[in-house]
Amino acid sequence: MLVRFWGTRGSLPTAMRSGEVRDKLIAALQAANGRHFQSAADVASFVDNELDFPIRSTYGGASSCVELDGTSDEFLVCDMGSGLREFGLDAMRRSRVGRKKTYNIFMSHLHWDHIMGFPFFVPAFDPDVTIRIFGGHDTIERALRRQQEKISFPVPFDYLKARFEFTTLVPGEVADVAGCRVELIRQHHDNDSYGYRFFCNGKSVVYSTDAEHKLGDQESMQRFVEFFRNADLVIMDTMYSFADAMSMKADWGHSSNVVAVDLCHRASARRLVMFHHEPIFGDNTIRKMHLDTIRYEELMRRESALEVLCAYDGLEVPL
Amino acid sequence: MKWSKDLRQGNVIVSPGEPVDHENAGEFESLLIPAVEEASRSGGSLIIDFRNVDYMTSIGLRALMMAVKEAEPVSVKILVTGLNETMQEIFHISGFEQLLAIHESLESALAAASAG
Repeated sequence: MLVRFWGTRGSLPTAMRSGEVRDKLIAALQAANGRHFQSAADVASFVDNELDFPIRSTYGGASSCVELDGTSDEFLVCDMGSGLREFGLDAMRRSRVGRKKTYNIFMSHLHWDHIMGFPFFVPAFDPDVTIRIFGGHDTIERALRRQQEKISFPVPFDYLKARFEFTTLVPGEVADVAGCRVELIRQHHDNDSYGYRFFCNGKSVVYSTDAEHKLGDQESMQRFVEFFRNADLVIMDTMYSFADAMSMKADWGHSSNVVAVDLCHRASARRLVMFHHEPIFGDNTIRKMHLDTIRYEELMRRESALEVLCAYDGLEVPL
Repeated sequence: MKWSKDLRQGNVIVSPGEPVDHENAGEFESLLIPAVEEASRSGGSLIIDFRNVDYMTSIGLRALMMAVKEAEPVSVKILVTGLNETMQEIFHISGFEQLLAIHESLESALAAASAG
């Protein structure tokens, strides 16, 4: 199974500005320090092995969309942020060489950044496509139709030719979808959000974004510890610093890197992927947050190590 | 939880005696809040001496935040001292070093508390 990240930003998609590209080029050339490269392969090796991530790459700017690939011959995706557009185009390429045209989409919630990619999801125009949308909210179809009403978008929902199925899932119940056993948990976020635990091919993946954790509620914390228990991969909202999440951004519905590590440690999870990055954070800021989180995990580790990754658009995590 | 309390020049000094995590954070908070109230009554500050605390998880930090929120309306200053290297890093990574006055020694914290 491969977990593939198509969109990793929260709240609003963001794009790198030309000045930021220029800064990266300057930093790369400075790091090269006049070195002579014999070939493109040499350059690639230097870039891949000697440049820090914020110089050689970018965390990207598409909003939430994560694929679990290889669970079955159907597609399985979490959320329909702006990253869904690129996923859709890539999925169509895979369908042209035999992949089944069935999409299973699990929605954390219906805030704009998590549905905004759907009007640009090209497979939805294909009459041979089946799109199954799952979520804890029973208002998913209403939210999708509304964002494609004439006042907001030139193509109405009814124009889409794919076959749609909407299914409301219930916390505490297990669903069997696309080769996975799926459970969900209600999370603290405005109008609720839902986290998912997928058990597929002997591996467990938790997708828990847009969830604020009220640390004074020990019962709730313990529920999440159990939901994350022994997970191979936990994808979690780490949007704010802990201090911000406790003070000026309290009740904004998001979490922090410190809480993510503590929860994963208590649950004996194996890997954490930091996700739903603050859109105003540039690559250097996110990288610093990643390094701080790795260090925090080292400081707080009592039993087995938790590997800490930081999501970027295009990241692939094999399980 | 291991805990000691002292009163000097109207300032309340508390010293937790063990790491703070999800197992004892509730008790930590239940000791901290009355200490804020006592500092308010005595007209002084609250100094938290962490010299015997090896580490603190997010739940412990949250209890500190609750103390800060309790202290603000009654104009009680909270000062922190005794942080070992691990605790200093925790305060830095969590952003709490921006929220609390951190002093290298108890004497320095007392001097700052007396200065008002």
